Formats: sequence, structure tokens, C-alpha cells
Amino acid sequence: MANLLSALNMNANSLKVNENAISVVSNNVANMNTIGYHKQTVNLATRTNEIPIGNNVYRQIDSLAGVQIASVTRSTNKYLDNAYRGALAQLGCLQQQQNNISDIADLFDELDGTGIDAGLKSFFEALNDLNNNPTDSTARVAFLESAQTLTSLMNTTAEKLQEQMYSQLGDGVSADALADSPFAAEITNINDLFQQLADVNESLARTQTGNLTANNLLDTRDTILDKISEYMDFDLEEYPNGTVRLSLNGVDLVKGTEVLGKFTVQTASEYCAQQGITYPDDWDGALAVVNIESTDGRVFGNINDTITTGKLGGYLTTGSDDAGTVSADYILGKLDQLAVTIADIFNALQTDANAYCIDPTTWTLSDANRNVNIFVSSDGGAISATNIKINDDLLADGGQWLLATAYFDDPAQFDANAVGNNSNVVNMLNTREAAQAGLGGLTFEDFYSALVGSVGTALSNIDGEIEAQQSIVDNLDLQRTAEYSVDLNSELTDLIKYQTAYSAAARIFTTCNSLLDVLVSLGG
Amino acid sequence: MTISQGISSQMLYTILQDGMSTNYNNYANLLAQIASNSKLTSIADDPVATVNVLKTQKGLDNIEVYLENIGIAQDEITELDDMLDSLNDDIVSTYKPLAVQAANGTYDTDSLQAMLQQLEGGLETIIQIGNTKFNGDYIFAGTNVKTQPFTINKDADGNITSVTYNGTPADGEYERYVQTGDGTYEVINAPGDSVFGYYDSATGESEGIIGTMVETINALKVLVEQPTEAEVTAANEALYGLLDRFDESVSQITTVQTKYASAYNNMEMAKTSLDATEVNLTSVLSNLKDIDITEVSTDLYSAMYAYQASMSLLSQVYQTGTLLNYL
Repeated sequence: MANLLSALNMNANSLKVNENAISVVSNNVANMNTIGYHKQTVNLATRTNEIPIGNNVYRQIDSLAGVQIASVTRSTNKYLDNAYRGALAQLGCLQQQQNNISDIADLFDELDGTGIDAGLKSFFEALNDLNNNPTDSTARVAFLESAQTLTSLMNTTAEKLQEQMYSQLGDGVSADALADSPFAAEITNINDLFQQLADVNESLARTQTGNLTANNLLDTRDTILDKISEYMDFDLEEYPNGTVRLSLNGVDLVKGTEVLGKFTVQTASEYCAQQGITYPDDWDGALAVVNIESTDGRVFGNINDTITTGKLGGYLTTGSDDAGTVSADYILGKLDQLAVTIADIFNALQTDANAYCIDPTTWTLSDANRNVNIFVSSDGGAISATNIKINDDLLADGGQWLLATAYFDDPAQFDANAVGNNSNVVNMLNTREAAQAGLGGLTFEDFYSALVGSVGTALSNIDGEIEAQQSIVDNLDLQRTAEYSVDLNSELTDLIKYQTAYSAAARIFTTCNSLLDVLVSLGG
Repeated sequence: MTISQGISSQMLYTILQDGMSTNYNNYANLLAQIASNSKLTSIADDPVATVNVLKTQKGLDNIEVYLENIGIAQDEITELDDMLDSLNDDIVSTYKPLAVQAANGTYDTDSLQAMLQQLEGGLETIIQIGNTKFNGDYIFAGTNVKTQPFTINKDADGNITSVTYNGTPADGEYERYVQTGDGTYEVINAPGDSVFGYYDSATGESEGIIGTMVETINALKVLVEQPTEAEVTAANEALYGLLDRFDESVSQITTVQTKYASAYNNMEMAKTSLDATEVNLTSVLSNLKDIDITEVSTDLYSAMYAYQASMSLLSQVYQTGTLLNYL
């Protein structure tokens, strides 16, 4: 009878175990589509009554106490997580760089024939018309108009490049621009993530007090870590209670339940002022500087060099003016070079001592062109792609006649009536195919198409890198999905398994019950 | 994609979805290529090809400009040539025969007077030709295109004292250039003095057809005024002496014509070679840019089938489902 009762007992326990196992299966199925969920598995173990058995077989049977749930384990693989997060940080960096370059490439989409290349082409075509009709007012005005189109194309492209350059990290000077920048927003995001991680740490410290793990909290923790890895690479140490210590280059950011270091940003000029660096001449870093402000009051200044990957790394590398990187700053420099060379060459021809313009009232040649440059800067400073424009004197009424079209190889041959002399226009036309010292020995158009080529190559290279990195991330993600995610077939198999065990236990319960009935009715 | 581990439900869906979206992207990309008839939709698609497209496009546009220039220049040269042809005709068939008749000394005063008038009219015509404008510019004035190249000056008695040339002289920088190729220019004008000459009684300068005509007119005038025997003889001798100069003037004009005929022919050859280059560059550009419609259509169909297959596969997997369907 005692054995029957203990069998009943054991059964009750077995029912409870299978019920619980089904509840774990149910949790798995419920979360089969939850991002970051790690599949949990019930580990069953035998239960033993620890009594002295000796040579007594009944005591041996008495020691069998059925089944128990030893633990519910969560599928996890630290190696895979680390590899995945590292790859994700790389990808984030590349994607941010690609963003910047593709914004730049949009400005140089010359295939539709609307960019600076087309502007140069129509400039020289108008010059050719002027060559055919140097005494025609319309040809002169048309040439000036095409020159104006060229300068405004340069202005617009330069302005957009400047905008692009300042769009990510601010302009390096204005605190407001930095505060409004996407970079500052990302810094706020990552500080939030640090806080979330500290909160999860706190929950874990409260919950995971023994040997069993708080699986759902660990899922939350890992999802936050995945998110942080999109922003940057970091060092991680895990404690037995599931809490983690997140640090960057030895500086603690999150430890236990507290955020120990927060990211702050300041403009490059502000940082330089604090450090006694002359800005921008002696500063070759990014337009914004990231610092870590520690809760104990210490400040770790300029950790830009530490953040080389992730979205933040991407922001910092493309915002910088590193030589060799195809960045907005680099391209702006090249455009300036083009603008300066065009202005120098054409202004020199226009104001040459043997070049003459026309006085249309008398149809004679005049030297009024000597002090009238074609290209000037709109702000009085040195000419750049941003400020290059056509001299207002030429655009004024009758100003077109100031264009120097005539040129005498031999000054002795000067003839004031030679208004049809177009030799200076020929000189100007000849600059088109001439190697320009100011452009590294390339012609205007070759220099520009090489620039377009370099932007295209940079974008196509980074597209290729992203494709490769994306496939690494996808592969690791797939491996993680394979290990972590819920498979309905295996869950349903488990369900049937536990259900069958439950039914069997119930059958044993019924059997024991009827045996007890028999036993009880023996006396009656 | 090789999968070494077990496949979870989520993973299967991920793989199927990835495959389907890859197939869809291929399909959409090919459709875009067909729609735009261009392999290059962005400068990053093929940076080297992009640079080549820009250069080739520039070459083609230049050819168009050069061909247009050649057209304008050939028009001007043809105009110039036609006028000089008719001038030569007039000299050979009218002016010189008149001078020959006058030199014969067999005509009476009235006839001589008529010849004089005809020759004076001829000089006017020659000067008119010298002062021809093309597109608003004097074509025989060298680079002084807005200055009338020839003017006649007469004294109080109506005698021609000089016919001056005001254009750029033949030994000056008279050339007007038209671009007919990369860095190639053709001179499209002739200085009027080398074609028509000039006359100045003060300095005794007398060149070309103008000099010849003025001197002929002056000699005829002497004859018409019924001078002394000696004066008649002198005038007749002068007229005989001038006959050769008519021929010299014609050959002078023909020399200029030959020069421009050769410029014209140069441009004709340039045009042929530009046309050939245009064909080449167009085919280069097409190779760089245009899609091979057969190839892309074939690819499009295979991409479409792949996309359809992946969709039907996904639906089949969902239909087959899991163990759930069989419990």
C-alpha cells in the first residue's frame, strides 16, 4: 500500500513535470517570431530518494522518486555572438560610408548629361560659335551665358558638397549645427542603449540569483548588445549573474546596474580651443569630437581614434578630410582646383597685352579688356568652386563687347579695324585640349571625368565591400538563427513527447487508483 | 548556401525569402535596363565605362560642332568662289575685249564713249564684288570685317584718283579661322588686295584688276577727249600694254581660287574622316552603354522564371507546413 501511494505521488510529480515541460514548449511556440528570442530546452533528470538501500531490493525501489526538471537551458553561443557583433560593426561602418559616397555620387551623375561635364562642353561649343562670329553680339552673349551656366553648376555642386560634408557632423564650429546633426542623434541613441543595458543588468542582478538563468532577460540583454554593436565595437565581460561589463579601450561604460561612462560630443573647434590647437589649420581630425564623461567626474577626451567601426566609426571616417579618401572635402578641393585653373587660364588670355576687345560704336578694336577678368570671385576672396562667377562688367548692358576676341601675334601688325580677328578665341579654344599644369597635366574635361571616375570607383568599391560584409553578416545571422530560433517541427515533436508522457502518467494514476480500490474493498 | 546545421522553421522562411528577394531584384534590374536601354544606370555601375562614355560623348559632340563649322566655312568659300568665277568671266569675255577694241584705234568717239561707260560700269561691279558681305561681314576685308574694303576717290572732274583697300593687307594678320578638328583650323577668307588689287595716282601704285581697269579707263578717257596725234599714240600704246595685265589679273584671281579650292577639299576630306570617326564612336558608345537586347531579354525570362519558381516554392512550403498540419 505504501508503495502504491508513493507511486501515486511519483505520478502526481510526473504530471507536474510534463505540464511544465509543455509550458516551456508553449513559450517557445509563442515566441517563434520574436526577434532576439533564444529557444529554450527542458532538461529532465531522474529524482532519487536518498535512503540507505543496503541489500534490500524494496528499499532500492523506494529510492526511485520519478522525474524532475533539472534546468531550462537557453541556446546560446558566445563565439557566434562575438563574431556576429564584430561583423555587424564593420557593416555599420561601411554602410555609413556608402551613404555619404552615394550622396556625393548623386551630384556627379553625369550620365544624364546635366552636370559640370555637360557645362564644360556647352562652354566650349559657345566659344566655337564666338570664333565663327566674333563681331556678333548674340554669339558673345551666348558665350557669356554658357560661362555663367558653368560657374553656377560649379557653385551648386560645391554648395551641395559642403552641405553633404556638414550634414553628418555639423560644420565643426557651430554647436547648434552639431546638436541638430544625425551624429548627435546617434550619440543620444547609444547613450540610451547604455542605460537600457544598465537596467537589464539591474533586473538580472535581482533575478538570476542562483544557478538557474533568467532566460528572457538574457534575450533582452543580448538584443541590446546586438544593437550597440551596430554603432561600435566594444569589449565585453560577463558575470555569473548574467550582468555584463561593457568597456571601450579599458574605460568602463556600463558595469553592474550603472552607466559609468556617457558619450558626449563637441565641435572640433571647441575641442581645439580647449586643447590649445589652432583650428582648422592644425586639426586634421573629424568635424566633431567624441568624449567619454565618467560618473566619477573624469573626462576621456577625443576617443575618435578608438571608434573605428560601427555606424559611429562610419560617421567619423567619412566626415574627416583624410588624404586619399574620396570624401566631400577631397572632391571639393578638386573642384576648387578646376575652378581656379579655368579662371587663371581664361583671365590671362582675356587680359593679355596683345589681346583686344571691340568698340561696337566705331567697329574698332579697343584695349578696354585689359583690366576686365572673365572669372572673378563673388566674395572678393580667392577664387574657388563655391564663389567663382562671371564678372558683372561683362554681364552689364554692352559688356559682351569687352570679351577680347582679337589677338596679334606680332604687335606691329595691330590694326584698329581688325574687328574680325578671332585669334584670341582660337587661343581660348586651344586650351580645351591643352595639358594644364594646374590640373596635374590633364585637360579640363579629362580632369573632371577622372574625378567622376574616382567617385564612381569609390562607390563601386564600397558597394563591393558591403556586399561581401553583408554576406558574412547574413551567414553568421543564419547560423545564429539555426541555433537560436524555434523550429516548429521539433517543438511539436516535443509537445507530442510530453503529451504522451503525461497521458501515460495519467494511465498509471488510474491503474494505481483502481488497485487501491481493490485493496480497500478487500476488507468489505 | 550550404547549411550544415539543423534548419529551424524561421531559418527556412528566411532562406526562402532571401532567395525570392534576390530573384526579384535581378528581375527588376533587368527590367530597368530594358526600359532605359542602358547598361549604366549609375556612375558606380562601371566607373571605367562611365569615364569612357563621357569621353566618347565629348568626341561625338565635337564632331557635330566641327561638321557644322565645315558647313559654314564651305558655304562662305563657295560664295567667294562663285563671285570670283563670274568676275573672271566678265574680265575675259567683256573687259579685255573692250580694251582690245579700244586699242585698235578704229572706233569713233561715240563708240569709245560707250566703251568707256561700259568699263566704268565694270569697275563699279568689281568694287561691289570686293565689298560683298556674308553674314553681315565684308568677306574680302581680311579681319577688318566691319570696314568697307574698297572705296573710289574721284577729283572734281570726275577722274578716279585712287581706289583704296581698307582691309587687312595680305602681308598682315588677315586670317579668320574656323575649327575643323581638334586643334585644326582652316583659313576661310582672302584679303581683298591680293584678289582685286588697288590704285593710287599719287604714288603710282596700280595692282590687280582694279589697277588695270582704272588705267584702261584713264587711257580711254584720253582717246574720247579727241587729243593730239601724239597723245592718241601714247594712249593706244598704254592700252596695248594693259592687255597683258588683264590676263595677269585673271591668273592672280585664279591663284586665290585655287588656294581656297584646296582649303575646301581639305575640309571635304576632314568631313569624310569625321563622318567615319562618328560612326566608330557611335558604335563604341553603343557598346559601352546600350544593352544587348537579345541577351538581356533571355536573362529577363530566366530571371522571371526563377522569381516565379521561388514564389511557388514558398507557397508550397507554406502549404506543406509543419507537423501541425498532420496532428
